[in-house]
Amino acid sequence: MTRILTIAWIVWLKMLRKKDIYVLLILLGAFLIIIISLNVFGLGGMVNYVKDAGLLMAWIFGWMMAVNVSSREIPEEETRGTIFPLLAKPLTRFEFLFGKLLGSWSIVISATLLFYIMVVGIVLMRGGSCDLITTMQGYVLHCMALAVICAISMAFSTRMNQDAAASMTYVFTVTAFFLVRRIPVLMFYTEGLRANIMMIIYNLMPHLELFDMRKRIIHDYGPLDFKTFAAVLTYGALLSFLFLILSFLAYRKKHFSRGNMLG
Amino acid sequence: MSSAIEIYNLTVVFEQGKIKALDNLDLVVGEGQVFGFLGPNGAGKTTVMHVLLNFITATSGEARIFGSNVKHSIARQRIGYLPEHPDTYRFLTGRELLTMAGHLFLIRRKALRARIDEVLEQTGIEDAANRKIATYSRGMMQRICLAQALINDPDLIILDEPTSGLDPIGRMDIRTIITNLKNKGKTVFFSSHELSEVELVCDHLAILNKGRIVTEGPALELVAPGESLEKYFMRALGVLPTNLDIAR
Amino acid sequence: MTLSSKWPWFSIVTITGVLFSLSCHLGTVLPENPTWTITTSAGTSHTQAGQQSITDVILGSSQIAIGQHFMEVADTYFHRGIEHFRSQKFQNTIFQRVLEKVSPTGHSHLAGSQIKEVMAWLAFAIRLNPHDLEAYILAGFWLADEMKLLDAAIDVLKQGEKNNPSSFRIQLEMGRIYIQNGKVKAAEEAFRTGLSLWPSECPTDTMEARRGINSLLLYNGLFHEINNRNNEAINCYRRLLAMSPDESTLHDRLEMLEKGKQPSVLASSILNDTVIQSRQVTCDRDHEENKN
Repeated sequence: MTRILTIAWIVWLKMLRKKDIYVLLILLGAFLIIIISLNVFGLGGMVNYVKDAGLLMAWIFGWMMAVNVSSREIPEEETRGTIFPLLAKPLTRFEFLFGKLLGSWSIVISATLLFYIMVVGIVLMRGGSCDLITTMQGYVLHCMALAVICAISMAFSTRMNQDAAASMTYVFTVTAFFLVRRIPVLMFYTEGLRANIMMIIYNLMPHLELFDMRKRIIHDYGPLDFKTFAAVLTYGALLSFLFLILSFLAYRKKHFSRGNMLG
Repeated sequence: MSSAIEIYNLTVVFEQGKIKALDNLDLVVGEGQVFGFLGPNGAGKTTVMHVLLNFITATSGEARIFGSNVKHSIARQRIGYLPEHPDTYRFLTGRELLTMAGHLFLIRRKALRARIDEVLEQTGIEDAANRKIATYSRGMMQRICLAQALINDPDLIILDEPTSGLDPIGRMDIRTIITNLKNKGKTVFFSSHELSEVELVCDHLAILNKGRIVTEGPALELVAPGESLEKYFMRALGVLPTNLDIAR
Repeated sequence: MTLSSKWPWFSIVTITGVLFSLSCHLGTVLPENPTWTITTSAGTSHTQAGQQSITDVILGSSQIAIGQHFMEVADTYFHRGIEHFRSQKFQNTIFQRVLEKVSPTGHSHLAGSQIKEVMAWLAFAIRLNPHDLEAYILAGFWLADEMKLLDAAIDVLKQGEKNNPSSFRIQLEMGRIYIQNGKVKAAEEAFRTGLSLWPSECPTDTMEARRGINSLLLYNGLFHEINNRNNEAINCYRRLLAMSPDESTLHDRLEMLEKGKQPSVLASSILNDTVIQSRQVTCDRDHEENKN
């Protein structure tokens, strides 16, 4: 575990020193300030739209961070050659991948926590309220979605360069989030082969929409029942593990070349 | 004398068999030797090192380090490795990099602190230890990477072109470090194009060409008295001396 | 890469992300129009050249689509975040069952002061598309009828009037709210202006235009009656009956006026009743759900 945590620690230090998070936090802060400074017919006390816009931004920024951080870690190690001294140590490739995933995920969820704190803080400052349990549940499920996105991104990055892996992850995860939930509706108007293909996609793709509790938080529907919450968490953990295993399978025998393989 | 490295019938093929990087290679490096691994570009030197470090998997054959198959991560517990043109995490300080390397070897905190000071001194970069690596010169980068290779006090140090790109002083420093390691009884396995460097520090040599060992043995036995290593190297590779060489 | 060099990249990605997510969300609710209607919806009017705000510069024509999206978000807010019912090929997979729990479904409306949560999206819709008459009218309606903020409602509609000076619908809505507010003179003025502007942006054969002219003629007629200008009132009612001959009660009233008699029900009470009657929200989703 020490080795995994060491790899994760490196990812942390890199992110903190490269300052990506600060830029996103400043952007979110600026966005929220713009949002709340808009005059809404001279009315006060509206908070749901602040929650909505803030959480939307938290999702977008979290998504961007998860994809960009996870997709760049491995290709960057390879192109810079920093992977060679690392793997020359008694570190297995699984530990390396797990450490990278843990580091990327933990930094992304920490940033997301800051986003949530910022949004909830602004809502409270405006006299609104956020149900604590619902918000925490929403955050935890959001974190689990980010774990899945990080794992998918990492899986692609084991066999692609950073740009390709990031693009593929965006396409894959955006489809999983927006399209998969619409398949039952789309299938209503579809027959034959196309319907069969849709059905396969529906069953095979990750259902990221299950991790989105924003509606409950924004419109005050209260917390999710524990059984469903635990089921969704388990589903997320299984998906993340599945993609980690796929990453390992793709990576365990990968040959590295740095232009001098035959030197 | 027991062996640090044992390689038997090692074959490595790339590009679905189009390129044969290593061809039935056999090599044994004894403990405590400073072993120079020579060969022209594309001979397969780095490939051998990468197989030893499990960066690539051999198509056939076997490689062992201190008796352990290189496929097992435990085999790397007693190794230090410095790649060619080394690079590392530039956002870390030298000390942080060494701490990270030490954690990967599961060295305890207190022992690690002492060991870091030791390798910093050994590689001569104590003064820059708390600076970001991004601010290091080329030579300092080479030293910090060497320092992280030595953090576990390895019994086998694998160095891939350790002096490449260094100025004469930098080269001399690396040579001194290798000599010190030899004096401590460590095994050093290194490749180089700088034959004069090899001549100065190695006690054993192997010359590799097209994935095969051309010649191998103690340096003093291979190179005849009065003959330079360069001439021997050319002869071993079957390269005819030019008029210029004869004039020399 | 330095911090400063990342700004443009992050800005571009952020804006793209926001627009993308909005467009995705837009895709999920299209093609339906908002399900709540006070009157029938009018088409989106065209942007005017000249004044360019920052949003004009950044978003260009896409702001009309985004504004329309905000109208739909407002509609969703009115239904407590629940989107339209859609027919599905299958309904009982484990994913659907879990999703139903994570994202509640059903049908409920906000009411009273809760309605203010809808207002933000209407304000954004207006900001992005100042020619979206529906947004002004809905905002005016909620402010006046649900939140009882009549002055605020008038302010919104005045803003709408400023941005859409040729719209009869804004005048009609303003007149209604003036009546609720007891500002009879202002209401009469608004109805008169509305009549002079008709049909404005609506083609005359649309339901919107027909409803508009009917209301304007009726209200103007009633005001003429109240002010003892019976001939003008008769003209208005004749025009109205020529377009909608089925209005039997109006036939009787017109007959009485033509005979020089005073109709039994006072014009002022009809005016009040009609304004209140015409201001009931209908939710299309009720019909959708009944159908399903």
